[in-house]
Amino acid sequence: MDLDVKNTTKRYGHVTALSDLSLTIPAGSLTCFLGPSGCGKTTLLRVIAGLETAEEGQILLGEDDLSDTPPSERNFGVVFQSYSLFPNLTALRNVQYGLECRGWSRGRRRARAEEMLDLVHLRDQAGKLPEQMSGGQQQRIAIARALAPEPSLLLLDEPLSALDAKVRAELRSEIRSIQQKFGITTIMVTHDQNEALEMADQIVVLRDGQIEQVGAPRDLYAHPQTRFVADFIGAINLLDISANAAGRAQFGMQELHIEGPLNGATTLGLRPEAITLSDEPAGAENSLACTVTNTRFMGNLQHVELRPNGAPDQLLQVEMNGLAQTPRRGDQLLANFPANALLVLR
Amino acid sequence: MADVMAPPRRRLPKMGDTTISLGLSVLVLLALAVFFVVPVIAILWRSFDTGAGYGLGNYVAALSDPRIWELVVNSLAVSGLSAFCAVTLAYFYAYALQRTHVVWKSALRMVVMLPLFAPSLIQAQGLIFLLGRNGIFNRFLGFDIEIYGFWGVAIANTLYTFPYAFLILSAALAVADARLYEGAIVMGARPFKIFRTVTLASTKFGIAAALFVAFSLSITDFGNAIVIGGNFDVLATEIYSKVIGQAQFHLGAVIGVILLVPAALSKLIVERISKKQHSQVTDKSVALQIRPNRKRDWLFGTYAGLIVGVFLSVPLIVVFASLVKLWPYNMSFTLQHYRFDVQNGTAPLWNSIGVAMATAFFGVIAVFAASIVTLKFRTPLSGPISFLATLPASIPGMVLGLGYVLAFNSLSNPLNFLYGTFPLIILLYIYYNHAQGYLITATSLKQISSTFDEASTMLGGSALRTLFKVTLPLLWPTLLGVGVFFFMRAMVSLSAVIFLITPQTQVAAVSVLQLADRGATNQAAAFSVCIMGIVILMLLLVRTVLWAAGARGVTLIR
Ligand SMILES: Nc1ncnc2c1ncn2[C@@H]1O[C@H](COP(=O)(O)OP(=O)(O)OP(=O)(O)O)[C@@H](O)[C@H]1O
Ligand SMILES: [Mg+2]
Repeated sequence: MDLDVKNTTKRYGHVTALSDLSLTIPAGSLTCFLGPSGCGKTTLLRVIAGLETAEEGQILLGEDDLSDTPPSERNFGVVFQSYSLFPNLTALRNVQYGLECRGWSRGRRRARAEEMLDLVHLRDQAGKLPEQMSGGQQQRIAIARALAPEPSLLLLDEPLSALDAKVRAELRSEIRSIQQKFGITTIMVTHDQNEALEMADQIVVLRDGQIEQVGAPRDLYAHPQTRFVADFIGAINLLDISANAAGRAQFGMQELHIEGPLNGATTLGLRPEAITLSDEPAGAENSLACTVTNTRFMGNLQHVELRPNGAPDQLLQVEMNGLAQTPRRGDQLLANFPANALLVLR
Repeated sequence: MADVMAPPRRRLPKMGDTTISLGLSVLVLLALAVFFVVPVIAILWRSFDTGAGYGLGNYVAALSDPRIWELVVNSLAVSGLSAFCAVTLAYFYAYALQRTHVVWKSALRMVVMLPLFAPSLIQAQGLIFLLGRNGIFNRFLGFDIEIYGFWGVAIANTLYTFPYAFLILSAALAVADARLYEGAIVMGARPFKIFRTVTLASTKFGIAAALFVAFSLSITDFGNAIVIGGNFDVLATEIYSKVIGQAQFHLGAVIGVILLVPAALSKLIVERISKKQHSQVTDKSVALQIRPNRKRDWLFGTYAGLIVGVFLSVPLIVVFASLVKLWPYNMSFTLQHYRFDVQNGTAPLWNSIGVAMATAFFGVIAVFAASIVTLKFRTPLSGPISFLATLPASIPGMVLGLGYVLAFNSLSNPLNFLYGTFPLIILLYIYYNHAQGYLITATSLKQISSTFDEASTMLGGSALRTLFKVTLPLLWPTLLGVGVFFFMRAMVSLSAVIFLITPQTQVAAVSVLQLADRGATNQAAAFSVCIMGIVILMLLLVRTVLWAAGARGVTLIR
């Protein structure tokens, strides 16, 4: 069943953490809430969980209005950032906890808990207390515990941010495969764009308690609608432009060709990898004469910084694969890119 | 359509289960109101009741009597002096333990805690055996010391308040920022100058807090003053003689209110101060390493030895006196005083144990409920409850005790049937010590992350299940510690219950006083020894339990 958040507003004193926010989480999908610190990701997750009560709005699961259902009866699984396993209970007892609350029989409880421990590959740790396990193991147990009572929704609040890089990478794919195996509707909060791009079916970019843009990872990357989203997801050159007399985009001394209308936009986005460099004109739709101001060698990648001769106050970042070309500081080059690589941003 | 019209919803409490949380909150608030607020109001009320209407008549009468001013001066002088002495002595003792390499630190720490394990007046008892008319010094060593009076009370209260001052100063000296000391050394400061400008300066809040705590303990204590004071009267003894001797409740109430002023003021100041103390050491502070220094260690070792000598001599002489036939005339060994064939026999001792157990049990429940209600449930009542829960610390035991008499002895009180029973004594002990018990519990509860509650809630657990399956298993060592605290206080507190005692509800601490009063000094000594023995046994028992359960870092002595 889809989860619908409707016109939700949440205030803390005079801070508005969520403002009139509406959103649909499709059944069986993994949705990431992405955004900078303080934008309201945790608040939205907690409102959905029922741990916070919004002043206005509704939470609907399918046709059911959950707004007045206490959190303990929503049957949602939650994984917190800090592992939050009960320190006085073993891994197995932790996983069984939700089943005890639901009055499952002892035998079923045990079977289900062991099944869940198998799922996270920690059957051999069943008798251990949380303090005897590593952070990654604890977080796996926490996932098993959240999934054991067959929740209708799984909520994860930055589940990986307390872990080190290697464990994080492992758990990313593990969470994703478990989620797909059960087809459980899942919401994950993160401020790591790579995590969101890798794992999500749908990304919700939040800013100041409002939704900035919703879409599949590829959509958001290829078609960011705002400067904020473009800047937040992936690296991007933001070109300050103005509309010239002909109503076209004027970048410094030069006119740029774009697809579609400008609609009064003053910023164009250009991904660093969409630019190719050449010494001679290469017949591209857009071509800017530039001076190389800096280069950074990063193994398989090179970052090149260019100053367009026609707009010397704006620098362009270019990302090149391989070492076929090796520009040097001071070189004069042409930066080429197609019209459809220019993103019109609000 | 329906969702457009949806009426604004009420905020749910943090853990759901609205009925339980509201119900429990109301219960806790009601208990605090009935067993703390009402008695305090009763004493205020009574102090304004002139018999012919309400007014300032009693105050005018009391304050126009020059005797009351003499008592005020006596009280202030003797409490001021003993607070000053206790804090000065305790400061260097705490310094020896925290900042030097003296040996046997844990033994040194335990010995000065001894006064906490017995009724305050054991100090006076011990001093009389040592320095009294028939004491060792005068009778056997040829001295001619007159201990009864101002000096006796001052010394007894110094000994009595020393451990409290020590605990505060020890905590203040335990934290130190090494950077300050290194800075001073680099600038070439001499050790004494460093002590003055860095050590004293950085512990000034601790010193001030210790001074006020010691002062308010002294001024509200009456056991020592009544036993060793002779003709030297103070406010606390005056309440006692006005109420017990002359049944002049209204004057007792007036003096109680007068006594309330300095006690409540000191408490307020201590609270202010301790807030400042906490903000002093930042997370950037560097822990201090104690440098080796033989001379310093010898000096402080000798000092600590002297103090230990004094703190051992008092209980030891009392133990000794309890084992001789008739001090000082017949010093042959006997166990006859432990037969307790006087007054009610051993009944007061058993009563005390029962009362202390019940106080511990119900006290823990009361402060735990108050902490849960204020920290976990977040109902509109949370604010008033947390305010009331910490208030009893400002009320002297005698004043609250007298309040209980005035409130529960009245036939118009529906709880009048409690008057003259053990349950009321137990309730008095619980609410007299409520503030400390509540603060200890609430502090521990705050350290248990609220994520556990939320995790439990999301897994479908009710508030009660969370309480029993998660919170209590994490908190029980602290609660056991709080239980010991209540037990200890109920065993040794004298001033709080002195007015509630009836021949049927005698407790041990009061027996000591009455026996000492009647001149049965050996039996009184035996009673004190028994109280101390029981408290120490209990501490050892609980220590063992905690150790066996692997619970570390639980403070039992406060
Ligand atoms: N309990 C609270 N009381 C007061 N204000 C709060 C509370 N919780 C959150 N806020 C405020 O609401 C806003 C949104 O906070 P929220 O925790 O949802 O941000 P977030 O996106 O999760 O940030 P982060 O990435 O840092 O976790 C912030 O301005 C925050 O200060
Ligand atoms: Mg957050």
